Amino acid sequence: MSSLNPVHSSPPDRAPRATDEFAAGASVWRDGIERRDFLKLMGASLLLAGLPACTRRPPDALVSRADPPGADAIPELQWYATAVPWHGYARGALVRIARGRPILLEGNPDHPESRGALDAVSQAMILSLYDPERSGSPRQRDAAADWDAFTAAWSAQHTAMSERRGARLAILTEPTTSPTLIREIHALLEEWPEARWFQHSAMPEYERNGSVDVDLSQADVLFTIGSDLFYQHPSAIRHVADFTRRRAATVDKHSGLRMHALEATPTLTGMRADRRLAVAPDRQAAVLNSLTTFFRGEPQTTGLSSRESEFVRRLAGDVRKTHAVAVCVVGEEMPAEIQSWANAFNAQFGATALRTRPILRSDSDPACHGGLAEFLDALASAEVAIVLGANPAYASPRAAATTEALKKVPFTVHAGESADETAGASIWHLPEAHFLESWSDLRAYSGEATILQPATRPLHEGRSLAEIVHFLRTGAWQSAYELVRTTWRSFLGSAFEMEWNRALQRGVLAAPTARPDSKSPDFPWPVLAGRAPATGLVVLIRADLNLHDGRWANNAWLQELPRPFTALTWENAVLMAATDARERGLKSGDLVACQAGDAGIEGPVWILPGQAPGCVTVHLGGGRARAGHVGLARGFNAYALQDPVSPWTRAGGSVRATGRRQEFASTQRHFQMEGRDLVREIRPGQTLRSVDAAQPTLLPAWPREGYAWAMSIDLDACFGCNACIVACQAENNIPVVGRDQVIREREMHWIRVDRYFTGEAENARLVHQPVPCMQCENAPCELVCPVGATVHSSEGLNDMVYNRCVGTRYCANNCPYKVRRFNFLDYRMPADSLPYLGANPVVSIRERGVMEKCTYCVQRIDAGRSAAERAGRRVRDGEIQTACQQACPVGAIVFGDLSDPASNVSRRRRDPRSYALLEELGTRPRTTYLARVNREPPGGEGA
Amino acid sequence: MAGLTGCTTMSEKSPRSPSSRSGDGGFGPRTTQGVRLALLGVVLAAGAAGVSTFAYFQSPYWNRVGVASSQPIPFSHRHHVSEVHLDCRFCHATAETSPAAGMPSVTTCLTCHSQLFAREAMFIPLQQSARTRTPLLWAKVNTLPDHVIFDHSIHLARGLACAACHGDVGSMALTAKARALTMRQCLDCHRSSSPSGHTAPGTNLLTNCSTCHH
Repeated sequence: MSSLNPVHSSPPDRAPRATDEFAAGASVWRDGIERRDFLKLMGASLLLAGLPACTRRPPDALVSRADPPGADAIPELQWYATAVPWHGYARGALVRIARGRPILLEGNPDHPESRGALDAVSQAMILSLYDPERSGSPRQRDAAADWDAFTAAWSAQHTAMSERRGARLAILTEPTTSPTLIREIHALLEEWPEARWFQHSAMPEYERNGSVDVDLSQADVLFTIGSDLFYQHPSAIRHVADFTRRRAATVDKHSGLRMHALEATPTLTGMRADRRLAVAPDRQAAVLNSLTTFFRGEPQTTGLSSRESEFVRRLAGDVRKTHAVAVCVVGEEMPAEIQSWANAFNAQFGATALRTRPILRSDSDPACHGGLAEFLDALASAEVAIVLGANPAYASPRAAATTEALKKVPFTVHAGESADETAGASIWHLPEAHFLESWSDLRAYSGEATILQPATRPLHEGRSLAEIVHFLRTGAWQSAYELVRTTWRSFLGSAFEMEWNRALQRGVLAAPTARPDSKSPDFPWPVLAGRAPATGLVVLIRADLNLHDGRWANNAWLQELPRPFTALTWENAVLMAATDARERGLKSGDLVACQAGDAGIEGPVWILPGQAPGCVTVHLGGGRARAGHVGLARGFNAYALQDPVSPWTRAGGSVRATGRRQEFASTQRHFQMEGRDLVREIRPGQTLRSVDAAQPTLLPAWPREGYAWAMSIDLDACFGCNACIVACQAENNIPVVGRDQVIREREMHWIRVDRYFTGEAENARLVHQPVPCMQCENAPCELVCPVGATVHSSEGLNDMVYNRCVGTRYCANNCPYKVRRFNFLDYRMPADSLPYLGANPVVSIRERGVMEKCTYCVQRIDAGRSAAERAGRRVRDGEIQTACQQACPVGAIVFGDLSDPASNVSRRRRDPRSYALLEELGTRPRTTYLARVNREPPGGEGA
Repeated sequence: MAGLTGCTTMSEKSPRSPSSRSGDGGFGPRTTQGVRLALLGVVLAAGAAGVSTFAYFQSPYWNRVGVASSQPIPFSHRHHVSEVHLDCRFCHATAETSPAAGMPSVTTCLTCHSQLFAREAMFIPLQQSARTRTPLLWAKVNTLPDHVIFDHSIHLARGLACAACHGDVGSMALTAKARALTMRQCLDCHRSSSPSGHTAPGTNLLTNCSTCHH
């Protein structure tokens, strides 16, 4: 057993506090009114508040529905299969509908790109549905209008457009896989052959590699070059699930799937590698060229540093093992020549792990006339410009030019879910329906189609893009339902109704047969032109892990979701290596002017272990000029640094201190383990002491009659994707507190993912540890509560009784795991607000002054137990899943009954890797961990 | 009154007056007695206030037991249950399968009342609701606080009769609450039906806090 050597991450902007539970001044009321005044006022209002209590409560209303016959009551719970759009691709999902309202998105187990799990961003889409600032009705010149007005305005254009066969009409969309939308666009272009269609996406080109897909379940060695295959990729869930399954099968051996990563800025994928080499982009060609020499049989490592040559030797050794199948995956942000190197690599070592997939997204559609640049050219002579879904006036390196060009066109229409920057530059803005309130269809990255069915009646007047395109062409409205059915009538054949219903039920339709790319089978090893060492810094621009290209800026769950590397919320930062910062005398939190060419931004520095020296990373998605109050002007707008020619890398950057500082809203400021074995790492085959033997106690053993709920979290599987945090937030009505409150450490997430950097600073590895409530059998919190608001249940849960809690916070102070959250302010959503509709009706919404924490999703336990009791049997293993477990793409979290020795969680508890967090305290937690496995052969840099 | 008299007495006696130095610490026996009585009175009054407040909030009056609310239609459970012999589940259809027992849709009412008594004035709200397709709002009779999570289905599955909580609705011309539905009443049942029949927390599933509060 070895503990990890922590690396100082970004020094926290306050001294780390190892002892205090609450930040200094955490309980101070700072909302413009002094505490004393507040108490005086409270005294007065308390007297007044007492008076209404003297009357009896008026009775609430019970509602008898006027219709429909045959459905007397709204079912308590329903599930519908649908899919979440992920930049034009489908991610299969089930939407949970409680009392008629969609409240939760979970993965669809039948869907190959979801497998029952869903990423954090996709899950958060349920909040966007209830976003009060989502666009609800058409707007004309930024004033309220209605659909009739637009219909009238278009019919005037429509006649002229038909006469000139679409001449001087420019349409810009995002790439999509939706068969219906593509069919409607093609129909429009056929009817108006002079019209021009362009596509723009601010995200990386996910279709760059054509029909080549990797199958990690067949690979023995995975080599990633700047790729975030496991997180920021259309089929991320499938890849990370395959990877984890392969690794779990060989957890006690040194063999099995090995992984190497070469990257400049940390990705969640690279951090999972056995060996990771962080070098600036200008060194990557040299490393890869050296690798080529190894594969050609004349190894040369001239010009490489010792770290680099060690990496090359190890990787080449793994790849050239007999019968090893090795695949190389290159990030979409990397230069094309590196992709061609990877093609040669895969042709030589990885053929059996490569698959062909059908190319179904419209990126390379022959009817399309180009990208944003061509669109802007077309605008010069256009009379009508239509932007559907995209937001090029913000999300592009040509944002300012787009705004200018759009304003010169006589008739401009923008359709989107919010009245964003492009809407501001257009005459008409049309509200696009949320995918949960409209019919649509999409295909997954691997080609399977899903028909998206609405889960609720439209909350506003939004219409789907297919409906809008159909209207533009015909001048008449047709429902999305009819449009989607028309499309699928041609695909589904004779037994249409039956096939249609089956498609809706399962949520998956088989993929069309893939044709392999017609590339030549011969991939010669290219010699990569080593870039001249850059003068100054290389600026790497990346899509944000939560907000992507900025489209989710108004989603408060995603704003407050801690970024995987920095735990930053509500803002972005200039990520920098420690050596670079030291050279320039910068500390974390220093505001710097980051300059590249004639463009520049101003943002705070965050010193990030694992970042290669010589480059800084900025993330897109900040600095929105037109968004709701959640997303408006959070952080800086990194599009300003993008160069249209190479949007992801920009050489010749510089960073200059401004002398000012900025306080970060980061949820983790303490990156030290303080010499305790919080995250444990073992060698394959090593054994830890048994969890139960390791915790002697004088207290009587907790009686285990009936069920004994417990959880086990596999740290070897967890890769820090945060899906559990959002799942928990949606399931348990957890509020968002805002940037100021996060700075005061009042965030409310019931499950947090702690991050610790280990290894050397430049090549640091990152380990994650999800920490929910440990549900201790000897719980320290229970002993100190003066009002019995936290008590033990017969099934081993540490119950939190909100209606008893008086807010002493003693329990949080006495909790060694710091998992209790306190409602410092009234974070409840008003009962007449839109987000309230999305609240889980079986979980109390907590009021001010009440402590709360993870309950193991006790409402799901209750529902599962009740269902089993009604059927007269015991709960089956795996029948009850907590929200975090359900969402986890790698199955890191297992929940179940400890009194059943055959249950999955019991087996995990007996695993040699099993250990309890802070077991020396004798709290006997019901939540235990499985140690991480270091597969690096001894003698390597490894632990 | 006693306290007031005591105070007056005290203020009348200046500290320098001869009697105040007479060895009993400065107050006369009457004063001391008065203060003692006053203190006792305060304690008793506070206790009485506490007890009566508690009793008031437990009382049938506060909890509207036996008080029929005014409803859009004067619906009679006595007629429908005792005279027509409708099953509870004919209208409250999801009681066995779902946490909420469910209210009948207007269509259910119109099963009979599109013909029977259809011209009576009291059915105007029903017909209006059906015609305008707006829901009919009934006044809620039995209600639980928001922090209580209740599931009809599991109580029925465990053999509890509707009448155990809702009383004999078949005898109510206008529906009223039969029991106060306080936490004590829940616990009376939850404790007695426990295998151990005992109240020790942590040994009985039914008395776990999270059974009803989460």
